[in-house]
Amino acid sequence: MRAWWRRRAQARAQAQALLDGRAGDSPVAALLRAAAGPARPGELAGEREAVAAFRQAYIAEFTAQAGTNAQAGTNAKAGTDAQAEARPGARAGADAGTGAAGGPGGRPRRSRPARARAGLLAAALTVGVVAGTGVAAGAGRLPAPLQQAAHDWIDQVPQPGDDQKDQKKPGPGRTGRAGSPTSPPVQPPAVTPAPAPTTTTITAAAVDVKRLCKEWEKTRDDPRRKPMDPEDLRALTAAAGGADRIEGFCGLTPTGSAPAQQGPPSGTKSKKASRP
Amino acid sequence: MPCGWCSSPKGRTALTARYTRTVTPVDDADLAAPLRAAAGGDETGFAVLWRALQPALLRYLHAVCGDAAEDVASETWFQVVRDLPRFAGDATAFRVWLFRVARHRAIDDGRRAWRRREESRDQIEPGRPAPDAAAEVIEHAGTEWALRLIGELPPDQAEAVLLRVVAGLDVAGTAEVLGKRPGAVRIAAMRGLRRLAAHPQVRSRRVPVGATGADLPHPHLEGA
Repeated sequence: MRAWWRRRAQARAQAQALLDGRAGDSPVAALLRAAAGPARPGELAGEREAVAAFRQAYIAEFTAQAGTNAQAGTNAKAGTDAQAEARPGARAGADAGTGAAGGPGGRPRRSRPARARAGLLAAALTVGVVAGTGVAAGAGRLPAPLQQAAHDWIDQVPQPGDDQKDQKKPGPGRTGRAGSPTSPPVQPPAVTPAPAPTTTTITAAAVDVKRLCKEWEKTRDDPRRKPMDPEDLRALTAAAGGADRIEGFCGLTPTGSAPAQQGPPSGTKSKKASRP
Repeated sequence: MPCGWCSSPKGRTALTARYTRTVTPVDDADLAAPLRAAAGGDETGFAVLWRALQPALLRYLHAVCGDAAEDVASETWFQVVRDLPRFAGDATAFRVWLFRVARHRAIDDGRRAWRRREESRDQIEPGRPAPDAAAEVIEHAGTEWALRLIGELPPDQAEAVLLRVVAGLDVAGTAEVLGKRPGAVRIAAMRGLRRLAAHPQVRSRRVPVGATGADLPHPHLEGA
């Protein structure tokens, strides 16, 4: 028994020595050395592309960092990570994170909560938009085609034209209602007239704020530039809740295209949207 | 069970040897500085890193996912570069990380690759003609041959052998890449070696010509 054990242990030690590249001149050792032999020409062919990819990635990385540093806190980080996740090579980041614990494993894992945050934020935004649309539909304030669709899906939603405020599109109004006898009696619209901004106002306001912030930042950074349009400045000040808050307010708006941030205080939205 | 062998002089030497790695394809010590430089955004550092590890990466990936190896290698570097600024480990950890990412990407690419490899093995490219000395051609042919034989092993054995020998990982690192226990890695690698030793082509090659690079003190990949 012991002899067998010894032979086995010896064989193991031999194998490990071979694998470490230390052992001898046996044919297998030679084969292993050959397998780890010098690089063949084709194997280094892609160097230029690889270095170019490296350069590009680092440019992106550093610009993202610069952008992130200017902004506050974790939300901005989530935004950057979400952008990174959108790239094709991103998927295995999670995979690599599932491996055993180790130095490199820590990094991909760290991005998980960030991604979760981004996802949550996106979900919250979606819910907000959908809910806003729902409220708007309930109040009968959607554009006519959308309102019609909402009415088709949900019986409680008034048809387009029901709302007396919406006078611009009288087209499918009363006739459409008369033509659907099966529909239950429509309740009077807007029982609780919530100040519901429509989706179009939201995006308009977001874009507007973004533009104003950019404008403001440019003016701040470049003293030779002509001052901002007073009307714009007033709107921005109102949105930020004070002239001294503009910087922080704009800092919270993403520099990229991701609308994954909180917009301005909701009270200013309709006001700003109505301005142009 | 008391282990007489372990305390014997011979056993002790073997055990010490097992746990102190003396040789890797490219010394991790040589990669420490380039790694730091690359993490800081230095292109030259990255190029050194790439040249040192790309051949091993390709050889490993060829066994895992056949013809997709080059694409998977590119994707692997892409991902590694992306996360490199936040990488805090040393060169050994980097090597483990690189191969772990590669393996996951290769598996993402689909296990069918193993099948494809079976089919395409007969038409292995004869190696690009090197303009250099004939000896180099022979040397590369030896590498080609050796990799082909290792690639014919059962997948787990091939991976263990390649990660240990070509990628220069130790048992722990290999285990980390493969998601196995170190003991399982040892056994897989040992079985692989045994199988290789029994291979008719290996047995008939009793005299390793210059083809195998036997004159090198240890196997070094170029470019460090």
